Amino acid sequence: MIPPSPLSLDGLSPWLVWLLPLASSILVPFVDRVGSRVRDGFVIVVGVITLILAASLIPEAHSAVGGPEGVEWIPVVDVKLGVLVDPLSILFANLIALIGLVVLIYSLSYMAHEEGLARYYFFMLLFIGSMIGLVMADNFLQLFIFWEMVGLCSYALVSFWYKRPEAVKAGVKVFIMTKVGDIALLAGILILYANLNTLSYSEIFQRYGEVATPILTVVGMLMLVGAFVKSAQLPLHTWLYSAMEAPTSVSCLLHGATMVKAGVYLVARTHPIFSSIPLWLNSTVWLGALTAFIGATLALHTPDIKGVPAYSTVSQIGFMMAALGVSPHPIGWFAGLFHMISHAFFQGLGFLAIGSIIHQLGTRDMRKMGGLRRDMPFTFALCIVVILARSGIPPFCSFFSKGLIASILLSSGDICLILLIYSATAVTFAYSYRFLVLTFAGEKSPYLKRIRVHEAPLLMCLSSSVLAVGSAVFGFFGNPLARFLGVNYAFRLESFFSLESLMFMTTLLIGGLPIYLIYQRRIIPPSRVRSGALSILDRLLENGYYFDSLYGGVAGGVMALSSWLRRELEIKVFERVPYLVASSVMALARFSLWNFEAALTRLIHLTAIATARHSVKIRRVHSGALPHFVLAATMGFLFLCILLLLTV
Amino acid sequence: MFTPLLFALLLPAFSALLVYLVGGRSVRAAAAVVLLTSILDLTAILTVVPRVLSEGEYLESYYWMPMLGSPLTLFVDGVSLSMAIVTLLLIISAVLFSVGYMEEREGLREYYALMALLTVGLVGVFITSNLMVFYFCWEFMLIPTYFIIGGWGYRESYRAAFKFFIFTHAGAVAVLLGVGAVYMLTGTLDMIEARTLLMASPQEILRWIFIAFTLGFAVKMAVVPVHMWLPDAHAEAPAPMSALLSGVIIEAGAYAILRISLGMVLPSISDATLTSRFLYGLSIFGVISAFYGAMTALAENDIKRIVAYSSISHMGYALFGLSLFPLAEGVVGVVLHLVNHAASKGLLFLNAGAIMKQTGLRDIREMGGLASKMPLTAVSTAISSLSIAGIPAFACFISEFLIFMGGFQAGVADSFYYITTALMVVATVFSLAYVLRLFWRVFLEESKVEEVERESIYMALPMAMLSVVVVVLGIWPGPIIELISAAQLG
Repeated sequence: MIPPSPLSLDGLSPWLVWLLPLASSILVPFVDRVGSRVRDGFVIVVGVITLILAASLIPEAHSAVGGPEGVEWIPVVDVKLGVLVDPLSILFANLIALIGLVVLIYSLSYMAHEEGLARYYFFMLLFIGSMIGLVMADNFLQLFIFWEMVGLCSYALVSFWYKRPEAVKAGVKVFIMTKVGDIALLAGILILYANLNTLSYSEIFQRYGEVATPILTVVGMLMLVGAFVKSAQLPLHTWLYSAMEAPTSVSCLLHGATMVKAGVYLVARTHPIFSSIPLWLNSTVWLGALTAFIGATLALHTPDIKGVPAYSTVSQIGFMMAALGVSPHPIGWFAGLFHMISHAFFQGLGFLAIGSIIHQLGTRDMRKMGGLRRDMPFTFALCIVVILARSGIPPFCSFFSKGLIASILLSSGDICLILLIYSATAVTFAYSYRFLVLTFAGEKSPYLKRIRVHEAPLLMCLSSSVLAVGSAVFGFFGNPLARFLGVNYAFRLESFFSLESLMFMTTLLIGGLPIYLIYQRRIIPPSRVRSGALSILDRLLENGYYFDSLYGGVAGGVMALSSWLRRELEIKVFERVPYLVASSVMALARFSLWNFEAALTRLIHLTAIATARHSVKIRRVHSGALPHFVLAATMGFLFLCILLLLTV
Repeated sequence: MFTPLLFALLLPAFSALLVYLVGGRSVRAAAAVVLLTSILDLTAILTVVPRVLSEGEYLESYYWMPMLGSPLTLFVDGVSLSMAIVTLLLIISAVLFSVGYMEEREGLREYYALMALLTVGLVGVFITSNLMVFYFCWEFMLIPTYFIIGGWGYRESYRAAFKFFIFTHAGAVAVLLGVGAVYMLTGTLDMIEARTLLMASPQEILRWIFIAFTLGFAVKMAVVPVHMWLPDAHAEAPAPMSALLSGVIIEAGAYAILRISLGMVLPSISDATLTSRFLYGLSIFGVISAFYGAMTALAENDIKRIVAYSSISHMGYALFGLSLFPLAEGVVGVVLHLVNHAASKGLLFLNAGAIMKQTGLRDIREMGGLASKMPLTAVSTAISSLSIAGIPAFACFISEFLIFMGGFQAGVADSFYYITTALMVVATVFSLAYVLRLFWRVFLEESKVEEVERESIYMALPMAMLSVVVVVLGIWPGPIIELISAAQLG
């Protein structure tokens, strides 16, 4: 896997940026043998170098057209191993490397007392390498390979505590559900290959016009399914909550900041190909908006502290998808990516802050929490940043990115879409606020009085602060980002005071009001909200809109069908057939042998009787007298002579 | 002059004799003789690689039975060479594994002698183009297999062995009919000559020859519904033999379909609709086998039977790939899949054997939590089973990808293949499901098994070796694909 022109580090860095973490991951188990400190140092050094390599690519984003030359990889179908250096891939690579490093540092402290850390860091580095490989790939095969490898890492890390049955079960669920999306993506890629005979992006982007529209639609929809499942969008979004069985650092990196963005990346990457297909655009925007709303409502209801950022991620990616699909014009595309980065900061921070809380409390149930603000002031501050940034309070990042998405959707003019997005925005603030009140406000809960709670260790606080700074200031980097991505967009100061901003802020207030009344002031007790007219809604949310019941039913059905096949067909038919055949052959053999023997005996018998009977007549010939013999012999001889004479 | 192929064919036969001589004194020595033989064999085979890469094929011809009119030809091209290489690799692993796995068993001198004899049949099938030699090896591999399954197997082992023998022998009868018919029509036993001579033969007979061959090979390949012998034979055989059964013997069926049914007979059938109907048949039975095997594996609880059903499923993939003949992606994909599956499934059977030996259990519901007790087996099982599930960076992914690629390619011309390929793609989810279930029940959660010793070095070594092979084939498949595609097929 050595690139052909190892001239300078510049030519190598697009390769090394993913090959280095991949190669280092294999070394982790060996380094672990040397010592745990050495291993920790090694991992951090790899993380830092990866980030430096990623950053060194930024200036090259616009210089290289197709990236460095590829290496021959799979000869028969002419697939080359290659890297793609363009603004989109470099943007993602840097984000992954940055969050990856932050999470690695955080893990040093967060995971310090766990067993199996070699395995943990192996999969973390493997993930970082694969994820960067995914975005740097220059063909669909490479993309797909890394797409599956990050899925594998996700499985392994969700099941990290493999002795806990829930973690194992969740891992299997996550892997199987995302695999369903993966095969759709695979089919899409292969149908595209079948029609164009190439897997390389650059050729496909040039020649996709040759594919007939119906086929291109099918390909687009299949790829969209793959992207939506990977990004935990409706209807296969439920795996993301199950993935919360993972250590929180893993949830932050994989299920908050980077891996779930693979779908966003894919949609953004294939946008030029499919943006001419109305069905594709409509599905993206509508499913995205719907997911934004449904995910937000689920986050509003969950009692699980990790459920909040999990469903929030589902919902926020819905915003991104809606933006990517809203219209063919590039502002939507840009808004989706802008929000993607904002989200990586604030949601990553959200996970890390929550990780600190779980680390101290040892529980994920928010109903057992409350009044944490005195014991964990720094984490409290971080959580406030999360809330502000996530809901879109100015000047935090989401105000710019989500505000842009909201205003773009507003201009689309579709009233249902606008309602969905704005109510999702309102609920976003509501659930964030609820989370804050439940965990930090009020008196200490009885559970908390029993245990001693400290502020999170320094290393965890420090690494989280990086993301806090990002959440706070990234919104102001919209214009440079637009320039970097080559989109014609400029944020103007006066849009702070536009009608759209006002609407956005009002929406937030509407969302916050019920929470203020129910949780903060406790004017309306939560139990009353759950009973009465809203009880149906409560049950609906309790069961996550029954999506999991449906999928559980499907899984159960497949298992039942499999056992039926095994029981009824395999054991009762296919296992028995050979024995039935064998025993009938044996029976036939025995039967015929018996009959044959009987027949033979009878034949011999009959012959004997017949012989005995006829022998009386024949006996006369054998008179015993010599003259008779001589006569017979002579007559015979004469007969022969006559025959001879006749033939001559 | 050094004649590598003849050497490779005959060396194991002589070493069987040597095993008898030294095996009386030391079983280890017997194992060492077989091991050394296989390594020498592999080296001999490997010396041919450069020739095949440059010329596409390599041929040795010997004067033999003038009455039949055909010389004894030993022939390899890219396809058979890669099959022979992986076969020998698997034999080396199986023999080495046996040293640890069979240590408490009796009569090991005979066991290793049979292993050496088995090598003759297994290698011979792949390195000849003479139908008579092919048939001889095809049948010859049954005899050692029968005795190894029967003599060192589990539970009702002779019954399983008997079933295996009768089934595959019944299949072989059809093959013999085919061989006879080809000889009758062309007067030659050489596959390559026969291929051109068959063109002039009456169409009515050709189709029956095709059917006879394919049916006979399909039995060995264990395609549903003639798979009935496989679960018993694979499950009751000792683990090294299971690895060879799944890794080589059933794959010889797929190889033979490619080489003889498709490569030799099918091009002579001029009726295009008939040809495509035959290929449709292969495609449909491939899909059925893939699903059936995967679903029964999902429902099964016996560790070795799960792996056995998984083999049925994977032969479904291979059969489906064969139905894409003569598409390059399909053919190369199939052969690569045979190679990859041999390594991965051979490894998985060794893993299953190690688990069974160390725990004394077969039912996966009684296991659990073995990851901390047998870490090496856990890692190696993870590698082999992920490869079986077609997850990237492991061997089988690349070949499945190529097969699916060919499938959709064929779909552009004939939309029937769009449907079957889509179904095959769906089947991979089932593969992942049974593999994850297996791994879960055996290695994860709290341990239900008390005392488990670590696997011995002789078992660990081949597992590690094959794990590396599976990963390397998954990451860098270029060289082996180049070797395979050097062959002239289709």
